[in-house]
Amino acid sequence: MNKLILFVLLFTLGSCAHSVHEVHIGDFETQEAFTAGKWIKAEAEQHVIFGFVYDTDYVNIARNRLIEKCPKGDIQGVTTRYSTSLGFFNWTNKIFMQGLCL
Amino acid sequence: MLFLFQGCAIVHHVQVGEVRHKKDFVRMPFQLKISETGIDFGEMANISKSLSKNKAGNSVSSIAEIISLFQTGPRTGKPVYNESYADSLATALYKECPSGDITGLVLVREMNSYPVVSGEIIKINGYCLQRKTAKKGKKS
Amino acid sequence: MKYILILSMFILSSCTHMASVSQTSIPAKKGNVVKAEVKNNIIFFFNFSNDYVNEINEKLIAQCPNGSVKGILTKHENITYFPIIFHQIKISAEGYCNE
Repeated sequence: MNKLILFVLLFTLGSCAHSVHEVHIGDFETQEAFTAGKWIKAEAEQHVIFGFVYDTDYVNIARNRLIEKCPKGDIQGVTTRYSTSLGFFNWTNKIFMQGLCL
Repeated sequence: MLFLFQGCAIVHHVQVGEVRHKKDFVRMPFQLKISETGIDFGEMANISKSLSKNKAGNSVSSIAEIISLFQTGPRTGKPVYNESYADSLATALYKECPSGDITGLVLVREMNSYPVVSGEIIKINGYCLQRKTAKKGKKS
Repeated sequence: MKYILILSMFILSSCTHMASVSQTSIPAKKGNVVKAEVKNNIIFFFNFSNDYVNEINEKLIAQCPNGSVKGILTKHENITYFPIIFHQIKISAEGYCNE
């Protein structure tokens, strides 16, 4: 029973740990209230094994996905979260962007 | 004493935004703080190894070491189990300033570090531009 | 063991890691894309000045002299060319020029 509890603990605590490196928030230049717009989100990620990684293109992909959701409007107050989901000698770098589409 | 002096406040990242001025508007300051608890199993393994002399302590440090092997990768502060704790920033900003006229944003990504655990904090200071109320004057 | 170490050093060379990223508000009207980057080479972790960062603004303005540069995506990357011996810090900015 103790070994089962240990295995479950190891499985749950060993996986799904994340490190939030940075959160950035863009300026708001709108004359309109928040309720006038729609909140849009986009994400992109990059899987890394043993630290071998040669580009940071996933950031541009996240930005393009955000723009696709609001192609003809202003996107204000863009919140950018850069985090890494940790793992067993491999990890996933993630970019999450959220903005107000006016 | 070792545990008391271990508490440290560390700044990881700071961002300063534009400060706007509008005629007949006043800047009302606000502050928001969002945080999550971080846990470092590698540190737990080292501390229990150095403090314990019995079998139970050694097994705690072995388990903590194994868990920390499953948490490799680039880190800022200590690992958290909920990465989306900062995603509600936009909603929190809306509650502070429903008009959306926000300026002077200063965002700090900081950490209050203690042995094994930490507070991973995102703090925002800013100003909400609000129209000045007209003063009642004397009529001649 | 020696060969594994040499091989891993070659494989790890030019590994790119991101230090920070930011995105400003994106305008509805998107003009020409303007890009600028600045680099700083670091040998044995010795870095004596960060003044190279100031050039990136000038480079963006030079590409958009009569307009506003908006929707800027800024990336700060660390590139390892040879572990311990030679690194490079690259800061890139990409935005839209609205005239």
